[in-house]
Amino acid sequence: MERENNMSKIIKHFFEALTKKKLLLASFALLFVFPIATPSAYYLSLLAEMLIWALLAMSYDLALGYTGLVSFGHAAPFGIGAYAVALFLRMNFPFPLAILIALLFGALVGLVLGIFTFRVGGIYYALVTLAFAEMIFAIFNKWVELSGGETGISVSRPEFLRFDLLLYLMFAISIAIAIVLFLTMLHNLKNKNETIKNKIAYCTFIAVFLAIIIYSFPLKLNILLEGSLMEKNRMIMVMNTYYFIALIPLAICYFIARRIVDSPMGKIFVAIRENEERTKMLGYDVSIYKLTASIISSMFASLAGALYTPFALSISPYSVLSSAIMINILLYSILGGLGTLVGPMLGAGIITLLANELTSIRGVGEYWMLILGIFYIIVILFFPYGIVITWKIKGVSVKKNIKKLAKLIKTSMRGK
Amino acid sequence: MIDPNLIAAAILDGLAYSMLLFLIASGFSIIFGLMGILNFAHGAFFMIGAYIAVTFFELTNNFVVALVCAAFFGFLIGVIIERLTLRRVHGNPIAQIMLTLGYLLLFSQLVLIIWGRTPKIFYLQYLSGSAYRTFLVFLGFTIAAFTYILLTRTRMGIIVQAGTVDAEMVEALGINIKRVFTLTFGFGALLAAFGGAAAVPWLGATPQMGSTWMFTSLVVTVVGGLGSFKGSFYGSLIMGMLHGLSEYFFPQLTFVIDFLVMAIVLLIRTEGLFGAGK
Repeated sequence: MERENNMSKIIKHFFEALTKKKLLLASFALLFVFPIATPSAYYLSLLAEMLIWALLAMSYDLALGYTGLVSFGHAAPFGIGAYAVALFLRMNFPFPLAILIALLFGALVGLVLGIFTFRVGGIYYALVTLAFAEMIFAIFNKWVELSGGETGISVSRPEFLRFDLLLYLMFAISIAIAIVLFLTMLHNLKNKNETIKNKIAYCTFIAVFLAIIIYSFPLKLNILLEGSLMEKNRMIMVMNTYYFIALIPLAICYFIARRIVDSPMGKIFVAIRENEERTKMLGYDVSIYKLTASIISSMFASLAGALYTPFALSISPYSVLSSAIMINILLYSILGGLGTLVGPMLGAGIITLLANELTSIRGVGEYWMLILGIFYIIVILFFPYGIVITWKIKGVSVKKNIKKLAKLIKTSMRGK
Repeated sequence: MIDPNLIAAAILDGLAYSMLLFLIASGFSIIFGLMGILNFAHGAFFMIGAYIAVTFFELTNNFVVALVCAAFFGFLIGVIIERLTLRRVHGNPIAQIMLTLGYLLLFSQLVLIIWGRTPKIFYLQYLSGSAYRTFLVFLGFTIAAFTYILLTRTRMGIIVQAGTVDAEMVEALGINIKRVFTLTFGFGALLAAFGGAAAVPWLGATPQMGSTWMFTSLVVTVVGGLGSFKGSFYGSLIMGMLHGLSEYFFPQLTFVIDFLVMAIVLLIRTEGLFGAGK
């Protein structure tokens, strides 16, 4: 009897822990269920690409958004991570080991970028890191034996991506996660203390979840059961596995990053961003914290690079190390909102989606860069603090409006 | 033994290159000093100037008209951009950098669409080859002297210099600093567009020149000292000569040398060789 009570208590605690960050959890759960809804290899690969850029954007947010390190050299850890994995995969290292090596190299780059903060700050730091990244780019570009020069180097797809059992396992896990969250949402919906806004969000989540399951699960199940033996399914299966390979590190990194920024260390990062002199006066060793932030951020970036290589299969200095990457990272961060972690991820997703969809339209594709330029300018002029922060500032009024509406409905019901 | 003619050619090339660098870097430096904006659109002004010069040269076959038109349109575009967009993000440095980067991207694409991918170039019959490069050197020195007089001997120049030290104080003295910002930005764009136009008979106009010249001028300004007019002049001379010499004697190094010099200068003397330091 007592034991049962304990069990129910544990379950209750588990639910309560889950329900603290409800909306976020719901969106992560949706990401886990998403591949079920897309039986097309193209969209799966697009989603995977979005996840990689999201991880890169999030890593940059730790440096710029939280610690205030205006680094223009963030393409360097990304590119070096990508190249490390490519080179070690070509030497027939197993993929997980190659990722670990890439992380090590990322930490090394982060160390160098962090050491620059000892000497210079502010706009000068931005310029030193820019020079550093451009030098790495130039070295890779000229060192053809290492990097393959302008044509780049290609890797074959790692063996385990073709391993169907892995995909089945991941599907099982993701569906389990989704079901747990689904039940949590149902549980929350019954809770009377919930705000209307959250309830609407839960309903949406449940509806989308059910729609995905009912609409496309049978189709997907068919593909899964046939397996990759069928030639037409192979690409879908590979991309599906790849999607999970990108999603799981992203989820883990997000929670690590969230823990870091919510920890005392994260608070000191923010203190450095807000007022470095004062933080120093309070007795904190500012340079060590900046170094730490730089290393963590670079490691996440190199992980993004490491995941990018088996996805793109062919990388060149232009595609992973050039300043175009840096401009994209800045745009993701600006569009999403700095210092929010979620914001840059959102920005990366939106822009990657737009870029892919617009370039595929005939007649628009060639003007894509022009559109992007105009888009840049509009975003900066009208959302200088990003979507998430703008939403947080203006969201107050939305909340109030919804409450007002709810009250109105309630009173009118009573009136009847 | 190195051929003395080769050395002379390298020095002439380096000097001419320095003068073009000076035209783009001086405006960039003054804008940073006064307004605190790292204006990445400056390379775009240079490129737009070059293409406008190409168009007007084709229309009128007169180089002076092409130069003047390029400078005029550069000024106009600079003033419009500052007045309508940059002013809105004043005090948000990251947004400023992003905005100007956006303009660099936008103008590069516009140039691609309007003038096409192939490089454009025109030659002057009366001034060609090394004669044109010598002319460039004289033109550069004249404009440097002219700008120096403008900055130190006119009321507007003094206001700009005061604004570099403390813009808020200047505003408190009853001067419309926003108008000064707009005019300075326009003047910087004018210099850059003029430089772009002057570069065409020697180097031609390509859609990539915006970003390449932008980054070289960034290096120049950092080496000379951000915000310092004199620094941008000496910085251009140093980087231009290094560029000219390395192109003749160590062609593999040309790409790395810019950023190597910049990193070393920044790490040893953050404020640049001629910067005031704060």
